[in-house]
Amino acid sequence: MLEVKGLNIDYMTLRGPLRAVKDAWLSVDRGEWLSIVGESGSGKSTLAMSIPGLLMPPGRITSGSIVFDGKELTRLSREELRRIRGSEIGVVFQDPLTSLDPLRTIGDQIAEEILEHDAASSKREALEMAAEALEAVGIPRNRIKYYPHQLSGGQRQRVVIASAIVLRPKLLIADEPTTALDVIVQAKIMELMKDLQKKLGMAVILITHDIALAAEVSDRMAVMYAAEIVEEGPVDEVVSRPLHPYTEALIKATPDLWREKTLYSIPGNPPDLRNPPRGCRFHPRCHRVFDRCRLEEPRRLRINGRTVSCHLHG
Amino acid sequence: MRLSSILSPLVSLLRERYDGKWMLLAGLVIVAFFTMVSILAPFIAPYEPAQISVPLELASEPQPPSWEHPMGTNNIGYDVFSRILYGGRVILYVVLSASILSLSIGVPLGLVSGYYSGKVDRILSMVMDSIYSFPGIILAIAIASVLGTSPTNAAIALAVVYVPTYFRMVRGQTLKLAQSVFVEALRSLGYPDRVILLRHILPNTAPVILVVFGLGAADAILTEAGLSFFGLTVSNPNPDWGFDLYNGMGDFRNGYWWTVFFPGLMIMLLALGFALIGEGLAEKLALRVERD
Amino acid sequence: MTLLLEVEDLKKYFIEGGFLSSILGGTRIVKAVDGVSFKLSRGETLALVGESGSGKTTTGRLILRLIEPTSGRILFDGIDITGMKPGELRKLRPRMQMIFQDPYASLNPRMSIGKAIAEPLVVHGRATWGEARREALEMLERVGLTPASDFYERKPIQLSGGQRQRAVIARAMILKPDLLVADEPVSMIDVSMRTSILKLLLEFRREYNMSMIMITHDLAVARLVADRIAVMYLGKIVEIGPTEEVLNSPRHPYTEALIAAAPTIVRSARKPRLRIKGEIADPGRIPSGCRFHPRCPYSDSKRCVEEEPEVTYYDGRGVACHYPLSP
Repeated sequence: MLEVKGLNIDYMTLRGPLRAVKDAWLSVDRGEWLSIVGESGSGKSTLAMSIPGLLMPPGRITSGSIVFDGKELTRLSREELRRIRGSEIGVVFQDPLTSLDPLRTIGDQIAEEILEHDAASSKREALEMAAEALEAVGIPRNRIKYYPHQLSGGQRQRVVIASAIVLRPKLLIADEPTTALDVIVQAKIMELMKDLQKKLGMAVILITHDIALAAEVSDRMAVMYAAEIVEEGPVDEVVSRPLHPYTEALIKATPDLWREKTLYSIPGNPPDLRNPPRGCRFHPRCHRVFDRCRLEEPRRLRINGRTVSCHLHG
Repeated sequence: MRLSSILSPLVSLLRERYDGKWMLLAGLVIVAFFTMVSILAPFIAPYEPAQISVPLELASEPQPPSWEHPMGTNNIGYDVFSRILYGGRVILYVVLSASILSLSIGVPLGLVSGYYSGKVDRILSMVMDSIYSFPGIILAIAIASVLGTSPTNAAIALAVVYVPTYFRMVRGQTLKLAQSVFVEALRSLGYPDRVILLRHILPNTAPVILVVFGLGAADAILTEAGLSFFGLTVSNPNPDWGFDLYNGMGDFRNGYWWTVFFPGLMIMLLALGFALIGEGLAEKLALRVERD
Repeated sequence: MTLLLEVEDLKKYFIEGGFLSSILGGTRIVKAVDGVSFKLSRGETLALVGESGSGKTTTGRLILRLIEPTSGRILFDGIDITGMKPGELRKLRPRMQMIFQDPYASLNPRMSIGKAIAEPLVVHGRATWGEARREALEMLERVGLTPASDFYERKPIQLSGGQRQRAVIARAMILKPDLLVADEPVSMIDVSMRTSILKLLLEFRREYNMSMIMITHDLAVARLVADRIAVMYLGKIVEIGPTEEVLNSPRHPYTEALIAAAPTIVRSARKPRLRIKGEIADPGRIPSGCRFHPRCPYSDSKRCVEEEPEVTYYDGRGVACHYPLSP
């Protein structure tokens, strides 16, 4: 349903262009949950936000294609993209406060979105749809007249999700939707998104820095490092038998209640994207580095339905 | 800031066109030029500022600009150009000493008030707000009339007017910094308030102080000219831009434009110079200076 | 083990609403910390774990008297610091340090890293600037900011988040404190570097035989560093005990929920749906009886609604629940 091919995204900065996403390839099937995992600055949000045309100005797609449901999104006008957002692709951001208007009731905000997309014939019908969407995310319909400040952080994020799914999009993109929330609330929001994915047959792209969270909920996982997707595949395989040393190290460095205690961390710092290391971008921090890694950029390899960019595999 | 309404449209126009670096540079060049010229006035000036410089029969009527008198003469026969040169010394002395005086009172009070909120802060803020609520020129005239005509008294009057400007800016910044994590971290390290205020908060307010200095001085130029206009800075026959402006008013109506034009132009140029320094710094330091 | 810190029935109430609401009756009391007691030995690490609104950060600030408690007592090395005058307290400060969540905000943006680390020694009269500079260079080396002479001159903005947190740790450690309160020291650091920061703290702990209070929302982080865990909920400790015991057999339903909600990559460890209800209450409207009862999946007795459970200790473990879970 969604195919991203050879996507490059540059940010124009005062000190020259910066490649935030380099040669990204991805595909998401109908009803499938893909998580993109990476640290800050890895390009995961940039990649995800470029799909529904939400790249912020100094960012620009320089080459590559994004095909969604047979349409080439990179060639659509702003207006056409706006129509697709909300109706066919829903988007949820990290901070629910910034995505809600504090001066209007939550029902009004969802209803307005419905009317913007001509998905209801009257305000009344739109409000009815909004109430149903709120119920679907676990907010009683009598709260339709509430203002955002009357709700807790978790409930606000539920409202944002309700407005993202009210028009039954085929794809929901969620950018760190639970980072600002507490663990228990996070777990509940994830349960909700999982339920909605199944019930509505909707595909999900989750952006997160938490590989454990991604492991719990997704079908497939892509791992990004320094603007590149270094590994992609079915989640259980990636997590239990990582092909890329970065994935392996990231799993090992993530504190986990259910694994042995270790104080392992990845040595060094993430690279400066204006001046990335030669050869493989991870080589200065890699525990399996060899000569070739320093000289030659690894190619994208396909191994049994998984992809990886690492010289260890050829 | 109280930047007068004549200047601000010009400055905002410049702000749209040029970036902070050029504005700052232009302002510095203007101010440095006037300072140099004022210092060197005795060497540059072709005549004494308060001496009749034309044959007596021509003295009672202003003479237009000529080679001998590049800015003409006034109705007593004084050379306008020489008076401009000497007059610059007065206005720079008054404005700079007033600015330094109000800075050295307003900044410490602002620091203390913003850091120790509470009774002291409330009282200081009330006093400062009541001074600030007077129109600057009227307050300056009132104080200067009480003190009497002299450049130093004019400087004191202006200093009182501009203390609240420094106070408000520094207090606001201090208040914000005092609640910041980095100051809390310094408290947890057991730093005495003196060290926190002087070594950490003060340097962080320095950019704002510089901006206020530029904009405040620009405004003070205009206020000083106002004081002089009412004869509160110098008395006859001493040269002074604002005072000469006033003395030339009568001639202006009779078509002798130069006795008014040149002092007025100088006032505007010098004020513009300081304003450019202030605005340029603000732009360069990406500061949004509150204007009200 | 000797005792370093004793906290007794610590409370912090904030009054919300200004002059207008005091007339209109809109003021309310927010009980951010509502009776916290615990003891900390020398060299021991206690993790204060809880969600936002649990009062864990306020507790940390109260212990160092960065804010004034409403009531309660804090004994530091046998000295009651609760009523201490600011001047005396300042002399004690070098012995108790804090590091904050946001390394970007904890440093003076205009001061070089090296100077920021050296300055505490000078301020407390322990060294001249020359000596302090030398010690700061050693400390930079020690926390891995090398080459030290290069980092000494850098401004905070020229450092990454992880490097900044190392600088903040260096500044706190140069005074060789007996107690360190670390408030979410890694929550803003990239995952790949988190554990290296924790490791650094543990090394200093061993070196100085320092006690540590680790404030965190992340049980997995608490597990890596803490000897004991105290779980806080709405301003109170609901469970306290040795780390592994608490994590392996939680006795409070809230602790159980926190454990169940922690993400893991271990497939077999994933638990069925969370049974805990709703979200943490507003600290201005604390529920009656057991403050956890509206969310408790087990509570069905009147006792939980009417009677507030106090922490009761058994075998080195404390739990505030009328019906604690059995192991």
